[in-house]
Amino acid sequence: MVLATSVIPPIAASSLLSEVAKELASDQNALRIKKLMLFACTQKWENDSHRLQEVNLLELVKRLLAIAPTLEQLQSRIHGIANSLNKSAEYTLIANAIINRVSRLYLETCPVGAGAGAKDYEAVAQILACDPDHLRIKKLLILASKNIWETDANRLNSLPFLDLVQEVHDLTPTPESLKAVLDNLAKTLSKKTEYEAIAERVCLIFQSLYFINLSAPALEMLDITLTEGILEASLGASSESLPEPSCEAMAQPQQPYAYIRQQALPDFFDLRVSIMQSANPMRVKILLFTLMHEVFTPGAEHDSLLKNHELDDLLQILLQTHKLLSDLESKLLSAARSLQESDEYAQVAQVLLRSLKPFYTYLPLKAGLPTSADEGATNIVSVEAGLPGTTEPNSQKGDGSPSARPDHTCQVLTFERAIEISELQAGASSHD
Amino acid sequence: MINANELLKRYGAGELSFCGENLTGVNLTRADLIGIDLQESDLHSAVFVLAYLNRAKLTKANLMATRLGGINLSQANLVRANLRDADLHGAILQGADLRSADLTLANLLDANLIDADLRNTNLSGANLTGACLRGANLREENRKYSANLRGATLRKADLRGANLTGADLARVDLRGANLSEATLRGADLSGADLTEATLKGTTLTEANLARAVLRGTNLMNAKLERADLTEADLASVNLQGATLADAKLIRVHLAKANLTRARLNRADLSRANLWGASLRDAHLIETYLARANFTNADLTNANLVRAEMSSANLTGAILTGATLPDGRIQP
Repeated sequence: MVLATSVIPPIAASSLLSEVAKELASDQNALRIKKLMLFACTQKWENDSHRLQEVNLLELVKRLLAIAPTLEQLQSRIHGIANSLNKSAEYTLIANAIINRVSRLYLETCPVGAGAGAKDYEAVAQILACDPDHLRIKKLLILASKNIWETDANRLNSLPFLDLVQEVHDLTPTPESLKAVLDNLAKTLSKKTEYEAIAERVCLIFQSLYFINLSAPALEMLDITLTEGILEASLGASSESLPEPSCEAMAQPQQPYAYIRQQALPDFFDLRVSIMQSANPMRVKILLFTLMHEVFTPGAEHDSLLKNHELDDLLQILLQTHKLLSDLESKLLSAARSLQESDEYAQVAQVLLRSLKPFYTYLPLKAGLPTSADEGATNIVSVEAGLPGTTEPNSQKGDGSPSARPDHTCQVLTFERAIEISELQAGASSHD
Repeated sequence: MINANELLKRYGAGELSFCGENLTGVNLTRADLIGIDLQESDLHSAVFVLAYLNRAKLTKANLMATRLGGINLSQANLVRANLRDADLHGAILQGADLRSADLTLANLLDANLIDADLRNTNLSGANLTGACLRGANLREENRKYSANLRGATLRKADLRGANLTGADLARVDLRGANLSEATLRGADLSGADLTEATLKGTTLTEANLARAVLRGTNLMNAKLERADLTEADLASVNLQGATLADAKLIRVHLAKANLTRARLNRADLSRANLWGASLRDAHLIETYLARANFTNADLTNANLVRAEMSSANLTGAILTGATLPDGRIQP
């Protein structure tokens, strides 16, 4: 996947700057826009409307450009903040409004979604159109791109999927941000569970836009597994068909970020309380048991096995074995899917992710790491925080043979690649 | 006697009251019975795994040997319910009223009991491993009305801020539990195992901790005035800034303990073992130290005014800057 890497021009034309600031100021959500931008620049959450009014939007835009030199950084930063807020659904829309406007200030050396061609969009649009829930999918996509809850059947039919797919893809630079946007919106809807399932499906179908080099057969496989509900297998298999990154992609300056687990373990009493306040402890244990051992089946045998596992032990192991939040997320969601009442368990998975997220830090990829096309798909690298001596893994590129990979069956592609990089690094530092 | 289907049908039709019904052995796994009234009903050996009984009325219900794993009983009324031998593994009892309920030998592993009312509850022999009892009320109302946790397992339980005034915790397993800021005034913790537990700022005034095991326990700033710690094992304990005035510390094992700035005025430390303990800046005014062992202890700047230490063993002890019993300051 070639991520759009957009570079800010040395001096963004001042007229364009003030135009963007004006647009933001005249937005109906100008106050929230300011709050979010202010937080992105200062890490302070300002609630005082007087002080907010005093804040100069033009200055904020300039500071934001300085903080996020590329459009991807802007997107991941703004979406990251929106996702961490209480009113994440509302702020996801605010985030989109900001990104839409400010994105004009980035000189696009490679337009957003450049990797994804018209054919890719068409393929995705076609899959969506054939979905039995295509109307609901459309509603969700319209909500994501236009902030309108469209229920009129005629208008829904008149809007082609192709445009919606492109718009939503433009707004979300990574599969993670797409997921965050759709999940947050689904949560606000009355048929939350249905729409969460739809959001998940849409994310899956959109994968091909992020993994643009996925060959046609691979896309077909993805389609097949959609119906079978085995996501990981297909993604894992398709990783073999990914070509080496092009020179062009390598040359572009990228700063991928990832949520990486902190070294210090949390206070498990605090963690347990926060989880127990929002999820059924038994279901949490069932989900974690499924993730770590085997699919839990109600009955005397598994009941007694579950009683041999204490919740905080399970949480400790979970944290210790998942260095990347994205890996944790995919494993939890996959475990949830494998259980009966998967909707209930998907909610539990979300509670766990929310509670565990503070123990992961959003860190940039250290300079010199290979910014290969495929890992850029989710902006993920596996660099353990504080890993000694981030050496030049470029020199060892290609050493990570598939057989050397750990035997994980439910990995998303990017995590496999991340493991490789991590192993390369570990290898490199141990040779030093 | 009604069966599960009939109950669900009637509940579905809007009926809420099933008081006094015979529902023994009924299987209502995952059933949604929010707000149901099952007062005084017989639910012996019934199955309610992962069922929703939020705000249910279960006063005096017979729930003996029921399977209630993962049940949601938040804010339910379980006053005087019989839950002997019930399986409440991972159950939600947040804010539930369990006053005078009988939970003898119940399994509450990893259960949520946040803010539950457990006054006069019988939890003897119950398994509360990993349970969260934050803010729970187990306070003794009068001598005859107190929570009974005799022989219970509270390993790694979260009891932060819980009120356990006068509770019977004799011989309870509290290893690795967190009792920070909890109130255990006058509680009976005799023979209890508190190894590796956290008791930061915990109130243990007048508590009975005789023969209790507190190895490696964190008791920083704990309040232990007049507590009885006779023969308790407090090796390597952290009692920094703790108050132990008038406490009974006879034959207590305090080897390698950290008692920096601790206040031990008038405490009875006769025959106590304080080998290698740190008592820097500690207050030991009028302490009774007959045959106490201070070998290699650090008493730098400690105040020992009027302490009775004529028979104490001070071999290798550091007394620099300490105020001695006669008021002299050790150079």
